[in-house]
Amino acid sequence: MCAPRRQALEGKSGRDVPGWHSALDDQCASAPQLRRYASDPREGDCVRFLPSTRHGRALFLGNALALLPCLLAELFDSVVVADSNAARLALAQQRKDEETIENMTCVLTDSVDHVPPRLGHFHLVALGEERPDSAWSMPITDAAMPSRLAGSLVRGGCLMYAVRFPPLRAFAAAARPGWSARMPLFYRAHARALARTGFAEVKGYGRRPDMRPYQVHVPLDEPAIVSYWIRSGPRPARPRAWLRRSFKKALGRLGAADRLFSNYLVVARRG
Amino acid sequence: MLSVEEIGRLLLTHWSMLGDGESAPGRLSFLVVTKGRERVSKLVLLAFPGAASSPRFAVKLPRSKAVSANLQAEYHNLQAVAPFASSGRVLTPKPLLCRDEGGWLCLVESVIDGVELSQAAGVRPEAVVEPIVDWLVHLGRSTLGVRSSAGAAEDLPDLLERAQRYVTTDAERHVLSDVAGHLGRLHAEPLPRVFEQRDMGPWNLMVSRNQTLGVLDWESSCAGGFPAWDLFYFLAHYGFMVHRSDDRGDRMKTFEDTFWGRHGFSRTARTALRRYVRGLGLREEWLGPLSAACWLHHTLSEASRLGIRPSESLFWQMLTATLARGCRLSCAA
Repeated sequence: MCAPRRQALEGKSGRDVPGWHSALDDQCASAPQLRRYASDPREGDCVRFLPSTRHGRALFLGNALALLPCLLAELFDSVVVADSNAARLALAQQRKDEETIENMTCVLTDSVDHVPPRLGHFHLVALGEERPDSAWSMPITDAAMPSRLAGSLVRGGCLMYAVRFPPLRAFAAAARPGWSARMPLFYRAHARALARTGFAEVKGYGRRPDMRPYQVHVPLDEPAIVSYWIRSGPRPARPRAWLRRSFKKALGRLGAADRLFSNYLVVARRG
Repeated sequence: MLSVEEIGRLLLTHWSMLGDGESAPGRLSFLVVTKGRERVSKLVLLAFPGAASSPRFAVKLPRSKAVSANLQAEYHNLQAVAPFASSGRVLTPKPLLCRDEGGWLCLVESVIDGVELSQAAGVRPEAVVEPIVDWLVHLGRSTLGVRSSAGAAEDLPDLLERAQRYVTTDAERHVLSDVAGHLGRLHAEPLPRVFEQRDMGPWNLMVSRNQTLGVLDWESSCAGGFPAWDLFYFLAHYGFMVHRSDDRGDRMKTFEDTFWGRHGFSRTARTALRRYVRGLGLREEWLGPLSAACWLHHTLSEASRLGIRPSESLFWQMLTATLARGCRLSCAA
């Protein structure tokens, strides 16, 4: 890895800040979590959940300021970064130039809901997060979208995205008359929807804490590990925390512990 | 870089070394912990064989190839201290496997159960400090003269020489010259050299339900280190935790209170230092210069890791606070 790129990935500040970092400062003034999204190495740790054979082409759709496409460029032969926001894309292009990421191409799209056919087929399609940490992030916007994305993947290719919703607001919205979610909230329902559209293997990883930086990934398909995670959490000293923990344990015993996670990563492999 | 899938395959391939005679499970699943915010930080995977309800191994992986050497050092150091690393209520991980896969290191250790000290509610400081001091004394006594293939700690003149490369301002040079005087005198003393863990922060201590303590993260550890450095580092950071000191100003107040105060946690810290000094047969007058050397070492580590000037590091402020008290540290009751 070249020196400027390494410095950028290490998130160095002060005297040797690369130019694109300064430009990012303006954007981060009103959204501090954006800096983590763009430069915290923990943002790239999710690539460990991808299959071990990583080559070919990757497509990143969404907020182009993410650190993830830079890491994908190390793993895949080429990466296409597609964003519908021209200003963000210009900054991503500046980063690419400064960090000399030669196998990355930045493309402006009308919408990140559709992969333009001109971009071809990919071994990985990763959906970026558009919203601040406190807001909903549902990159799969309608039930037909997995099928559209599957059409952009080669056989055996992977789709990766993260879902995040504020539980109380989500339940309140679901309780309102006339609520019809275009995509389900919880992981298990996502897994079923993806399986119906030709994804042979789907895995989910609960992310904790709720806000960036995410520091723990709990495999939601492994009830024993989810239970362990609940058991091994901080020991509650106050009644309210104790009740919350008891509720989590009860959900675990009912086999519904995945419902504790309103923030999770999905990795699905096309059959 | 190694994927979770590859790690699973690797562990199954080497199951004969890891499985303790048990037959290999059909699969392994992982809980992934990615706490460190730096590129040089490591990922920890807790490995669950089959549908096991508790993890069997902790797998450490580097984020970049450049830090593979640190994990290799951890493996060698854990091997070196394995015969005496666990004692009393304090446990350390057992090194089980270290594999280099195309420059990416994978270190497998036994799991130490529990929660981080900072998350363990209702634990009295003395209930942690006393066993830790006894364990440090045990580790120190058992490892006098122990060597490791991962190399030994640098000597005081080397530390000062390294510091010269970092200081850039007159104020920094003045501090360094002051330290050099104290360390020069200390260097002439018959200091015992012990095995150091070198990252004894509360974040690396686990507390289990039965109150055993686990000391994790041995990648900075070294043979032939200095006595009391681990204890200084632990007391300073545990003091921050006990007093909930988050910002730099609060931390400096807590630091001064921990090492030169008379009440509360400072009494626990003073008792700990006294117990350690007696346990290892140190002289009390060595404590001040030893602590100055410890803070200087950690200043340089931080300056090198974060690309900052020495005077921007909190450890430098701890060093200057120690010097401001004539580099004297008492452990008398």
